[in-house]
Amino acid sequence: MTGLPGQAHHGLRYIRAGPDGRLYVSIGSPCNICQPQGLQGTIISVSPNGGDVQRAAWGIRNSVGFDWNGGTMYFTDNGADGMGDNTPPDELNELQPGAFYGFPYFGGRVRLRGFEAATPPGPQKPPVYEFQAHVATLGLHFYRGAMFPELRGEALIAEHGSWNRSTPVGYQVVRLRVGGNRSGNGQSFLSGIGRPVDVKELPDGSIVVSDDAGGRIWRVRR
Amino acid sequence: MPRTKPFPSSALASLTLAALVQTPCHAQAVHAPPGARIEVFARVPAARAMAVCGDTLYVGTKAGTVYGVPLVGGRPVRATSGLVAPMASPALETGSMLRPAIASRPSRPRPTAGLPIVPIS
Repeated sequence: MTGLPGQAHHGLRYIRAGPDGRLYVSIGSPCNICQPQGLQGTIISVSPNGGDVQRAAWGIRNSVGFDWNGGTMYFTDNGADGMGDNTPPDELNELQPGAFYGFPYFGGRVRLRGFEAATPPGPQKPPVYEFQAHVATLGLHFYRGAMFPELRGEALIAEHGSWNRSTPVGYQVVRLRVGGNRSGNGQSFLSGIGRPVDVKELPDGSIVVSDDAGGRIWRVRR
Repeated sequence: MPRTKPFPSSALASLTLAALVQTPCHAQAVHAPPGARIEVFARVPAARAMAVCGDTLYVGTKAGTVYGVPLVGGRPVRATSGLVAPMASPALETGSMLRPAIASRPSRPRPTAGLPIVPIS
């Protein structure tokens, strides 16, 4: 399919085939905080032949990671910059088809700068988990394998790391069992591996993590 | 068809690091769970989103290329080039065949590893 927004800002797409056989594509909002236009700030789904484009979710700043667990899609969303070291949080969201996730009115449940008094177009579906501000949650993978049985059903989340915070945070992969606490930092799983972007699982249950700063794919196994 | 240009595989220069580094956490010390080992599986410049498809790990990049890394180890090969920021390439089941799909900004893709590239519409 063609004709998608082509802006470079937040223009690094993420794409997955869903369990429903449709392709899901994230389209970022081309800014720090702004009103998205058209398909900006959405996750769309399309049929495998490129037709039947549907807006699966909107009101998103920039999602660079999603996966399914128990038939439900979860996606990360990067929080806005320039509002201080500790706000707004990065997000993990649960997909409710067609729902509005708050951007640019909310980041987490915090009103975003410049849109404090603006009226959102509808009720916000809040995140299921709020991460520390600026950790830059990107890739998300629910572990399914046997090599690390303690991880089964947990989300592994790549934190690309902060760039505008006085003390750097993130730069790690964390594990998180969705449905427990509503906020925090997860539990560190890997660190010292550069700037993690995506997390995937190989057929043997080993875990691979991409690092765009170091140009490496790391592999973790027993 | 442009010549395939493999990148040096980490399998050759395997960098296996101790998983139980007992030093305080700082940027350069690799930390992994107890009993796990971590190694560099492949070197792919500006590696971003990944997808396992068949016997290959596909890796999108911030440059114009998607690489394929054999799961059994070996050199990453250029699967496509000429794309603008190609990101992720998930397995898309088409009939009985699995093939990767790629999202990028407007591009003129060139296959480099014998993979056909066709818009899905």
